[in-house]
Amino acid sequence: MSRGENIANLVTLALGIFVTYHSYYALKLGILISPGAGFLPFLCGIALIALGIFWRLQSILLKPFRPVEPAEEPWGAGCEGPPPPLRGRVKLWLAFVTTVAYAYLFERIGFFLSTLLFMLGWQMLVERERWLKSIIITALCAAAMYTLFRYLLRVELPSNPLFS
Amino acid sequence: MNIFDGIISGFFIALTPMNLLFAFLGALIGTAVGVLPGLGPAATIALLLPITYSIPSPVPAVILMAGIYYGAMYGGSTTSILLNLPGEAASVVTCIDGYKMAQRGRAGPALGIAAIGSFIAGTVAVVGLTLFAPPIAEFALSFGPPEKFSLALLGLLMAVTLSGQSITKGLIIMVLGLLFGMVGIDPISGKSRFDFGVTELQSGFDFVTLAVGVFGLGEIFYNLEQQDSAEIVTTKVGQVFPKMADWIKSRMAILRGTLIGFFIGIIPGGGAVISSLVSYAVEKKVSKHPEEFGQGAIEGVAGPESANNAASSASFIPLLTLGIPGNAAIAMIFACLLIKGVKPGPFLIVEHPDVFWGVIASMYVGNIMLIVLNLPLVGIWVQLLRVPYSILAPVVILFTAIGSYSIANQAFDLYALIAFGVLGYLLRKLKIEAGPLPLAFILGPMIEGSLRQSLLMSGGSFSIFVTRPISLTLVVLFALFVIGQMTFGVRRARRRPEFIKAL
Repeated sequence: MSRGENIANLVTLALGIFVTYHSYYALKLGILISPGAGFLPFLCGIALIALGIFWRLQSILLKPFRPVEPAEEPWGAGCEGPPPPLRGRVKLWLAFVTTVAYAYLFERIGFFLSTLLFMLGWQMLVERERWLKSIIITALCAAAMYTLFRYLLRVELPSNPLFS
Repeated sequence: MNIFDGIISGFFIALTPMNLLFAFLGALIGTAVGVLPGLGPAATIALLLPITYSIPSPVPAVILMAGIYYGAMYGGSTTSILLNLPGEAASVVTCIDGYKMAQRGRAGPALGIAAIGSFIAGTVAVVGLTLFAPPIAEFALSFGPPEKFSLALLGLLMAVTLSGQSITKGLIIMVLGLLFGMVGIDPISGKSRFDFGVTELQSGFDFVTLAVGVFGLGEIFYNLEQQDSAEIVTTKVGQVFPKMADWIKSRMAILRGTLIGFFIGIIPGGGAVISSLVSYAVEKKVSKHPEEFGQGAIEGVAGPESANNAASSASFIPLLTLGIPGNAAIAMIFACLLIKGVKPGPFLIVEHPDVFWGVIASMYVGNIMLIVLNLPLVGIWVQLLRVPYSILAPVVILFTAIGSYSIANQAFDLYALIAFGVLGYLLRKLKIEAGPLPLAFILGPMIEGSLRQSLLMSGGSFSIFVTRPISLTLVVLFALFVIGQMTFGVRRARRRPEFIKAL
């Protein structure tokens, strides 16, 4: 079992235990003729625990039959292909942070301004594009998205509190 | 209404200017997402689900979504053949011989036979859908809560076991999907579940947020990490119409692919991916020159491409007749129907014949549109591959964010979207198929409702599931399937070293 799979397995078991406990004590199981709100979640929790244990046993019992993965592989047997380059991981983190920032700013500064900042941040930080190219792409994309959603699809989008 | 009257009325609906426009848009968008690697039909339908709120009637909305689904099957072969990069999962096997053909200067015939095979298979499968769907729907009318519960569970299990590599991981994802579906107020007891005091969670997660997060955002995150430079198409396409010799070689492969795809497509979880793999294996087996496979055999393109199109059309049968979505993309169409106030299942043909027959008829029209879009315009689709990922990725993220936000106009959904995106990314990293997650999420309320109703009917006894003939049959099938898969799974694991060696 690779490091990634190991963590996933432990998360499965922990989630299973929590769901079972919460369903039994907080949601209540009810009686069989009239199952309570916790009945199916309880069964799901038990299933998660059983599957988590089975997964662990499977990895132990079938270990000799699996191809050996290189020890330095960060994600190991559960990973697709070679490890991504460092630039790829940095890009991923920057993309994640940019998206979270977009979610945070979306209602606070309005759709148009937050979209402008998101696109600019993406082009400059994630893609490392030049200033001029970033500004052109940002302006075109933000304007296109605004027109599409606001005027063509008539979606209610948050406006900037200062301008509204 | 008999089948003939039904399909005629369906054509009257499908051929209205509005529905023709939506069928065309579906075919167009579907081909585009099929061509673009990293953006599958499930993700695209999920991205466009919020737009269906602004479409006034359910018929054009479902026609649009269906068009995207089977259109993606057509477009998926383009990058497989030209770049050795599957546009979507069902075209993985097309890379083997399609790319070899392109390397030998035969990209045109490969693309041509893929499009023609897709057209024939898609049309034949829609004929099958027309003939088989009404009797199945009529039979399913006799289903009560125990049958619905057994059927939904069997469908989910089949989807889990057939879609991924590991049954255990697939089942974990299925249970996780069921749990996500339970978040919010329990419709029977009125008790709030797993809300942890967060008001927004009391109304539960929205399917669109879950689907676009796992399939859209997760896919973008994964691709960003993997891909550092965009591929550039250098292959010349040339003449796309296959020569007579290619036709003779491919005709039986197309026929076999159609039949394989149709029957595998009906099974929940079967779908386009498995049918294309089975078709390739069958073609190699029956060929007089199996050594040509992997070296640019046209049958290796014709068979799988026909199979995945037939399967995509056939997978509408369980959706429209039983209300069981067989794969993630069909689950999105299921959600689209629910958004438009239409409940898929045996009553669909009676309560909404316009949706039932209109969608089926639109698939005939859509297939014709797709052959026109794919054969002469293949050069334009190739140009689409030049759109840089640096623009495509943030635009897709904006679509997912606005789509999720627009459902309830609350910023909380954006955070939920990112959380589901991270989940989708992690599942991709761990090579776990995310398909069962939306299936279980969408079938969860039906499973829970029918389980509780069944127990109420039986006075709290689980024997109700084995004392009614249809339910018993489904339970027996369920048990046989579990035993079969477990035996097969252990054997497969034990044989893996020899298999790897043989490759």
